[in-house]
Amino acid sequence: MNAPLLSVRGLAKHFPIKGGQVKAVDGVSFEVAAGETVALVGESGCGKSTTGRMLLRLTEPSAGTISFDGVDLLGLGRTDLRRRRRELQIVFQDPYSSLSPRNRVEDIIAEPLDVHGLCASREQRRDRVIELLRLVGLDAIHLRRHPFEFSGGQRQRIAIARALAPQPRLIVADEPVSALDVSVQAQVVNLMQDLQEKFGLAYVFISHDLAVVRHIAHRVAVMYLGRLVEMGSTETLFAAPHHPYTQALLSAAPVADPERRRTRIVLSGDVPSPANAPSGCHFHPRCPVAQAVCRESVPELRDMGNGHMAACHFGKPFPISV
Amino acid sequence: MNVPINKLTMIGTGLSALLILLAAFSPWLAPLDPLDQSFIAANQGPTAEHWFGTDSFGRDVLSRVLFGGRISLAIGILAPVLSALAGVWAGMLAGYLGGWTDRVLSRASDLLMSFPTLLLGVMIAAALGPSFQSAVIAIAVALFPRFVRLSRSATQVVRREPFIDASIAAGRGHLSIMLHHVLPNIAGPLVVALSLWIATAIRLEAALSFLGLGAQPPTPSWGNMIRDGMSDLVGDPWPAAFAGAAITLAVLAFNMVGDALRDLLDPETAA
Repeated sequence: MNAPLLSVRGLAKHFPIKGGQVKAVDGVSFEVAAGETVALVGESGCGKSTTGRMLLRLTEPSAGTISFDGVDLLGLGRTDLRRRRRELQIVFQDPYSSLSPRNRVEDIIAEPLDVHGLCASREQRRDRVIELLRLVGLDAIHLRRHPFEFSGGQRQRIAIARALAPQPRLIVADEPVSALDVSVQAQVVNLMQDLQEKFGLAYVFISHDLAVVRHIAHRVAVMYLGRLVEMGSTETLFAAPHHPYTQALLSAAPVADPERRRTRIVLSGDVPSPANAPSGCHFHPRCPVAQAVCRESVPELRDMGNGHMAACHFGKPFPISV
Repeated sequence: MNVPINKLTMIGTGLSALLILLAAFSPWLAPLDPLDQSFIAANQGPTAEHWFGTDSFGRDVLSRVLFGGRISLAIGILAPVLSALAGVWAGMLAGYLGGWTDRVLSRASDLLMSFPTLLLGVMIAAALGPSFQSAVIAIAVALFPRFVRLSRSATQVVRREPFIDASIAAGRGHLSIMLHHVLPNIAGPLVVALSLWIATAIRLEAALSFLGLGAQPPTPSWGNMIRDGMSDLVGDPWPAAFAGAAITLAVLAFNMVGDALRDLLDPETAA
């Protein structure tokens, strides 16, 4: 593989709270190649959205490095950062609040074009916006409308068109379909795949929906309480998860086959508060195979073969009976 | 765009416009010179010659109400507009940037808020010496913290909206975001507040003039007409009554304009 487009090392975000800090993200490292989709999955509050926001410096990281196309994003000054932002865009979860209600579709989509001075004339701007609208399955008749005149799925298409406008190389998609109806989810996911093929886009796809992730992602990174616990190609990760948390997560996903019997790994207890995370391996209080060592030392992500990484002291594929 | 036109909107906007036009064209509309005294015609009720009667100096009340409207409405509109220009930006900076900017601006406006509006206006007008300008400054300063607060809290809500993050991701700078995204999205409540506070400012101007701190006699303003009329409210209630009615109408009209503007500025209710 060539040098990755995006390379994240030891990324962390610690929010100060009364009497301590919340380690929302605690040393996350991963890479995204050009044209690749890496999914970040995990439960609510595991830090996946914060990680996504940090990639664009919408949230300033507490520690770590982000290298994009060989440039250290965290070392950029304000002006350089703004210029770089062309190449990294974001699509948010809620298509209702991510579009300014006062603007017309034309101006919403053209915002990145305006900011970076990418259009020489009003005609050129309009043509480009129409082109973008068509790319996402909308039309020129939608130009002068306001966001409230659209459905959730259409709004998400508008948000995707805006993200595409400055011709980015990577789009962070923060749960882009979780707020949509299931029937619309598939359309938007397929649209994103088409656009990836057409423009060689890389996606960091943040989601808790394993079915969607399995469909769109090339590689999957699983987060638990601010740390990556497992990362590997979608195929191997779904087929042979190494980390007990991933195994439990996968066993909890619904399968559309009533005939199929499987063992459901039911975890005891709730996700601990990140303000008071367990020692050693964050997962040990809920882990079915935890030993004394898990309480004491933090497992590093280790290569389990073929680049499949897991952060478990034991890390044998745990057979999920089928 | 289909603008919903209801009766209140029409009445309020029409009335405000009418009052402003009457005041603006008072030199051509007023039947008599508002400063002309006539002791023979003093303290008259409404007659064919003096529709609104005369005051204790025999001056024509109709002419004085028309001319007084120039002063009262000029102060009543100018002061809140100036106050809004400064206060809205201060509030946006505080609400958007947070941190020490917010602390400094919020404490400063809290300090001003701790005085009752009228008392603050009186103190400033008294310190600057009574005049048109000092009434404008006094009222503008008295309303300033209200604009700061409203704009700050509205900005804090908008600041958290994902479309602001989307705009940052698009590469827009913070001042530009305030201008392009925050201001239009907080404009609704601010415009409504502006028209309400124009109404408040008209009352404040009347109060300052009533206390002798606004435009100075013999120049008429609605407030000092009530002050003059107070001396003989039983014998000749007309100057105070018509000046008071003018204040009431103006306050009512601007309140109705506020509601109309709110509907117009919201694309959802406008469509």
